[in-house]
Amino acid sequence: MEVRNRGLVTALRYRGREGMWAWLLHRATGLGVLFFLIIHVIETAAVVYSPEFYDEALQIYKNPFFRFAELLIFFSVLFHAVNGSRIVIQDFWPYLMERQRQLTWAAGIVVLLVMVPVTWIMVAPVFGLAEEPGLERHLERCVERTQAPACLEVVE
Amino acid sequence: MPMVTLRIQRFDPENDQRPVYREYAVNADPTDRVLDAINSVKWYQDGSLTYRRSCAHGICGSDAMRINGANRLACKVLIRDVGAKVTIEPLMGFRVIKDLVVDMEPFFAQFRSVLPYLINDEGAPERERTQSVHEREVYDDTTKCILCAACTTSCPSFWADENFVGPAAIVNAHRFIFDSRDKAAAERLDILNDREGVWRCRTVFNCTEACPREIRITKAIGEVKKAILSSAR
Repeated sequence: MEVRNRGLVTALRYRGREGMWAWLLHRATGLGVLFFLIIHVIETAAVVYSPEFYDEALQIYKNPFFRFAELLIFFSVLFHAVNGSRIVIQDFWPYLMERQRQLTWAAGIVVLLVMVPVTWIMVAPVFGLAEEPGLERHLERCVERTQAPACLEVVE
Repeated sequence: MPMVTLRIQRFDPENDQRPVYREYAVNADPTDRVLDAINSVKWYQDGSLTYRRSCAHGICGSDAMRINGANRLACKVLIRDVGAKVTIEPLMGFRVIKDLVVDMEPFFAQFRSVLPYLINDEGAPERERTQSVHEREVYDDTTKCILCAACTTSCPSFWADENFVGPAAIVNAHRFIFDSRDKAAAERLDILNDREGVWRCRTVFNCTEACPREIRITKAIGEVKKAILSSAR
């Protein structure tokens, strides 16, 4: 039998440092964003092909679970963008790679700094700690368009 | 002397179906090297344990292996830096011949593929080919390679694709591409401008972290990538 020590489990057990974890997360978030975009395109296309299905889908998204999923999507896009910028910067100025660990940490800190207020804005309303952003404007619009599907429950 | 437990991946192709881990307790000082502990196993406990070592002073590049999950030279790591329980496994990606010995032939084939020697067909000058301090400095870092394969076998791109030329070969190409006396830079850049060449590199930095000679490998690869792009213009 041939032994090569190159399977996925062996690979994940390798003790890489910041660069390896950033790369893994970059891959995972990239796939996550791609997966989201596919679902998003299908579901948005439904507004043309099957409006009932579209309305139903939007109702499902009101479940608090999806608020956390949306937060995860936001994190994925943000991390992929910031970390991707770090990689581009390194590629253009290779001498910066002498500070690769610090650059990776810097990217992580930028992501964290943005995530703190965004997490509050997105999650606090779920626990009733803050008002849903845009609620006021939504209610104003519903006065004019009481029959819009998103307004039906408001009017009730 | 304190006791240290070595957990070593063993594989004997003649008797084993798959690798097994065996534990050995040895006496070792904190200032001993991991290689001393492995020697102690071979010399006093189990003579069948198979591994490579030659100079035992960090310059021949024979005893690269995975120590606690990361590629290191066993002769350069002290017991006090790895703790009382040490896991020792062969390098990843190459075929295990026995225990900690892997088949390095594909590694040297990668190395040879980048023409790792001085090429200059101009007639010999009257005296030596002079080089300024700055010209020498440009490739100083990549002259330090000892071909231990710690970098190539730490690279996820290599784990996924054994045809990837690998960081070690690119380091050795860099050493001649940026040597002002060498005349075959274009040829080497052409070899590396390939989907199995420098573009497989995803700047994971595992190679840079693994190099026992502290060569800034990912940076060298980045410089080769830039050289390819600017020579194409």
